[in-house]
Amino acid sequence: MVIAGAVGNAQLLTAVNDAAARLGLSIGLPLADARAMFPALSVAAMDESADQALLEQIGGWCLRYTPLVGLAPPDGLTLDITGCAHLFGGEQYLHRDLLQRLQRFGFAARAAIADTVGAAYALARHGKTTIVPPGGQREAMADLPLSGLRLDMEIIAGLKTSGFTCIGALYSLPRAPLAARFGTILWLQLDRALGRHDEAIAPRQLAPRFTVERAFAEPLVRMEDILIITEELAARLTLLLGERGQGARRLTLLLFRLDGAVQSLTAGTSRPLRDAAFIRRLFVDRLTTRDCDYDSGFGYDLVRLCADETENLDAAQDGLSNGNDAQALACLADRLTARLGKQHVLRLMEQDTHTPEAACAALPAQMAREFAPASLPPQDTLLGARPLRLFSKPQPLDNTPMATAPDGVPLRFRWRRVAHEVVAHEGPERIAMEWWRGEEAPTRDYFRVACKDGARLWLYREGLYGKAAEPRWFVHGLFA
Amino acid sequence: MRKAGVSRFSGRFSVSLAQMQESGLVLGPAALDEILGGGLDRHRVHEIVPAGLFNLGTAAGFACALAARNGAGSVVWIQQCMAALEGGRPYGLGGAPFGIASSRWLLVETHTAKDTLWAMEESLRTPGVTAVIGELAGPGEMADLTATRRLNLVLQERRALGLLLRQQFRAGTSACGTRWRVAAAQGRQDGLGGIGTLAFALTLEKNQRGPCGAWNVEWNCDEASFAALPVPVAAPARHRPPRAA
Repeated sequence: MVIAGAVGNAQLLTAVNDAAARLGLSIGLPLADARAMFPALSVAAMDESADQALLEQIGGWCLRYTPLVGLAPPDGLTLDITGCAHLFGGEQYLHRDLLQRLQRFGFAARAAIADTVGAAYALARHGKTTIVPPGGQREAMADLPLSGLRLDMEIIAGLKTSGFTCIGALYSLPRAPLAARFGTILWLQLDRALGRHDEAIAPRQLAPRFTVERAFAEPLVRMEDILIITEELAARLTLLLGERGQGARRLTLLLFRLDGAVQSLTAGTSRPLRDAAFIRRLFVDRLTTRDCDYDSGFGYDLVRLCADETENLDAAQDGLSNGNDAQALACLADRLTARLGKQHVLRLMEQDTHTPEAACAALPAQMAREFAPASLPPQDTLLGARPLRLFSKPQPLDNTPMATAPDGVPLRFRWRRVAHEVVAHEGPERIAMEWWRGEEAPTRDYFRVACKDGARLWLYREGLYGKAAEPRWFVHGLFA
Repeated sequence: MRKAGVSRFSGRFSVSLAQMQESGLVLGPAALDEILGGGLDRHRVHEIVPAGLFNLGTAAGFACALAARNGAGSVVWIQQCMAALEGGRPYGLGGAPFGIASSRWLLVETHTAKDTLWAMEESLRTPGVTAVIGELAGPGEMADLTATRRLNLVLQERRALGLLLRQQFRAGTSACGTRWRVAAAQGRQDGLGGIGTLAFALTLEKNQRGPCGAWNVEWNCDEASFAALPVPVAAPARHRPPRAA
């Protein structure tokens, strides 16, 4: 069985299994050659996005070992376990635990622990030693093939033709001639692997500022248990936050399922939060709604609560839920947002513009605090009447209204397939579009009309008569 | 025996007359308040239905007027997305005739009627919220007897006003205190032309505390109060000479 995919313009083998490898097939061989050698070969198409998604998923699972997990596509992960190993009883135990669990999920995995990302990369792929003692990467890497250095295929091929086969052969060479031929990247990668040059991993996500977790020998299955644990973790998190004088702005609850799936729930807050009961309630809503893909399966063996973003919060504000009305409203907005989504819980902010749809902007309630102006713009006392309800997309009239004069007051028109007869009107109010924004939008003439059937509409004519484009009519809003 | 049990059960919800008056939101016109038993019952949810297809704005306006009358706190308007397609989204600057500044609104959009009712419950529990307007697309079948009773239970402890705005009439029972059918009425003219003052033609279709009826009221923006519109009578004919005494 082999996997083949397009590399450049050629169909090459991108992965082979053990049986195929025993037949002599290797990665990089053209598919046509492989088929010619073994007509009965079973071939599957490469699916890069699925590979990437799987790697992401495994990376998410690796968060149980360290908050700093970087992806090394196509097939690797880099974990920064500085200060984490002792939590698992030491490096060899962490190493064993990681590989055992991955094996149980059905992955064939190799891992190596070293001082540098480069050394661990090389050893995990080609080495026999799995845990390099501090400072030992030079000896450990000496016998490894050059492909362990994370270099382009051409550079490695070039080095091979020059007679170098292992990394150790490069240690004592003069640098300038090789740099001239292969570029400085060769020495940079070698220095990185040996620890002469710093290299940081690019983590999938930033390490949260505060984290509390609990692991279980027996997995949790019932929702009620998870809620109890969430509450307990929230209480511990609030203690941590309280010690530093911080409040959480964004919280993540990670549920590590026994089979390796990780479910992550994120809840934002509109002001710094340090209230265990409220943190619990934020997640209860998420966990108990149907649309949350909550499926405990074989149960969860690790529950973690992180405060991803925090802000200063003075101790005087402890106990938000019984504070003043503004805080209560912020809590309400948070709860609604946690269940309905950020774009669906909105506060209004008046803008200094005449364009009706932009004059009152709706912002997510959780962001409104940051954008709130210090003082309201002065009220425009000459502002005409504005409707109570505005269509986000102005609705065209079915026909051009009958009017006394082409640009006069509409008298009869059809809207939503019903004929309306105007009995009273106010207007027109002319609103010119903002030419300084660049786009050429036609001027609008707004009319407020009362119809015989009780409709109170805000109509407008877009464009002027006598111009190239025929004016069009719209209903923009409904008055009370 | 059975009757005693029933009265003990209903005792949780029954309120004395004094409490009733305390919980009532006085609307203004005396005839209206008398029929409502001292004002709109704050401990029950109230339903507002537009009288016709094109009275959606007016019905929402009546809800806003009631909300404005109930206090100066925040007003939460929870709208089903489908309802926004039909009748547009609440517009902050349009609250001015009711004295509701744009900063007092909290707008919530929901996909399902179930979410709308849940959000209404949550909002009604929040201190500092003056009124909660829940707008349901179509007749809002989800807001049935059970759902409205749930809202009533939440309202027992609060002074906020719970308003259910249905876009269409729904035939069926509900536990609402009153149901209003709202149409636009011809307001008073100021003699300069134009549309005139904001006026509602109200039909009280259901009233738990008294009889039903129909009134034309106008909204006084400055005093945040309703006033009965004078009954229109035929104007005296001008061409006829005054009758001899």
